[in-house]
Amino acid sequence: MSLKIIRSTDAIAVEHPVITVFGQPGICKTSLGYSAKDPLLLDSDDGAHRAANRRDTLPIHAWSDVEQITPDMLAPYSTIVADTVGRFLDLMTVSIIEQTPKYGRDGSLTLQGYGVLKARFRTWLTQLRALGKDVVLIAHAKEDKDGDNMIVRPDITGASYGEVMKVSDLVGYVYMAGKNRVLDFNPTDRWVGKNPGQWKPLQIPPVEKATETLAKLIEDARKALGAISQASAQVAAQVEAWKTKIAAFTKVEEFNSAIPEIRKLTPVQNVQVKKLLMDRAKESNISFDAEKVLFFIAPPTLATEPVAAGF
Amino acid sequence: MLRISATLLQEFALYSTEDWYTEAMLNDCIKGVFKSTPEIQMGLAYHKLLERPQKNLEGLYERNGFRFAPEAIDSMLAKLDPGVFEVKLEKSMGVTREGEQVILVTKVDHIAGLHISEFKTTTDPFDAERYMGSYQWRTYVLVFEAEIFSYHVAVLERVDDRIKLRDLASMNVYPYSGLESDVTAMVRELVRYLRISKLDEFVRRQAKVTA
Repeated sequence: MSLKIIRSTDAIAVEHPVITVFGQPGICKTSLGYSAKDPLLLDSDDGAHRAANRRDTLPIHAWSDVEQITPDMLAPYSTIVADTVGRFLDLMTVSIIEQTPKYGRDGSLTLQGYGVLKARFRTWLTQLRALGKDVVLIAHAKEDKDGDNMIVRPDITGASYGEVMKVSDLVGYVYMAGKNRVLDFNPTDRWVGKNPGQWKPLQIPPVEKATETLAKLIEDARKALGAISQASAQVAAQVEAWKTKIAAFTKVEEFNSAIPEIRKLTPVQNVQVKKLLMDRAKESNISFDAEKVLFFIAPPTLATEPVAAGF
Repeated sequence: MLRISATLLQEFALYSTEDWYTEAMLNDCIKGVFKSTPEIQMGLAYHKLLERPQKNLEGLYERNGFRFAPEAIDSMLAKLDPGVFEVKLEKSMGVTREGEQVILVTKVDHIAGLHISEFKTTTDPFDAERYMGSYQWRTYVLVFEAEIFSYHVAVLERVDDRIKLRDLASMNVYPYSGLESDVTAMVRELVRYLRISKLDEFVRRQAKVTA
């Protein structure tokens, strides 16, 4: 296979997004998990038997069960669904304390133990992604007080919660709106969320018809994350081109002749290039007159206070 | 013209939602009363070193008396794509009933294309909720029309004569469909609070003429 270097300003596609879906018990989260593409559901919550549209399922009763999973076993599947991720991390916690008792105190992990959990969890996800699997993490919802408000978040104990939020590209809350199930990735003052696709709340079809819901969503998420990366890379490449050009500036005329060109850039490009230009001017002992919008060489005795670039 | 910084908006959001955040704390922030702490000083030194990383003869990164182990700075820099540090941008949020323009004022730590990165230093464990709920990233994303925002949180600890990296946590957040209305609503509430409390003078500036 030929090697391809990705340049620093190239887009990097997120080929296998991690999606976290959380909701109240009985709202058919597991059934939703089965609607991913070619899923294997790792059932650590003994809830698969209650789900509709059931697909292949692997009961997980201890972390050692997960450790026995081989790449060959996973080969037929495109998506690995951890149901529930909170229970998964609990099992991992038990395993860590069993193997190294000093990492536990009163059944919880010490700071060092938590470091081990974080590393193991990340390694596990990295391995799944390296095998080309999409990952769905399912969690129960719990309601917590957040200042004066109540906020719904995934039910994951302690510091593990932060780990799941970090690795998740998308986080969506499933709730009932009248008789309809709704999946909302938008964060609100009532629940947490991550929504790179900027989707509006999505109505989930009735359970018997929702056999490909997550498969389509994951595909859309892949495209959305790819588009984000592409759009950002295009802007970054233009700014980098300006950076190279500006680095060669030494004369006042060069700085001044760049101003009309920089004005034509979009606001987000403009501010970045302007900052590069002002930094380079400072390095070159060239001052800027904000009122005249001109660079100039200040007499040696004149103080040169930094000013905002008004262009 | 009322100039509202992302920092002030986030402080107001905390005042609106958190029991521990007092009105006196908010008023200090509005009035620009800045109470520095050793942790804040350490954070400032850390930020400066990220922008201009330079080691001393002992191979440590040193600034303002703070000495950082190389990993503390290098690991953070490795997280960043080529981009620009400390970039400012403003956005008009419209005009109040009294006819004053409201401007959101932002300065991001680092931007690469449409990807904003914000660096945080702390001695406490990473708190995902704190960052996900923040109005800081919402404001930055709105003003810069960014597509992705990353919090990079360096959990630091002092060991002997230097500061070491205990953990480096990164978390991405993204614009969402209701983001602009959320920020606009919070700005409106803040402006109302400033008027009622007669503190609006502290954020009022003369309109600046730019070419």
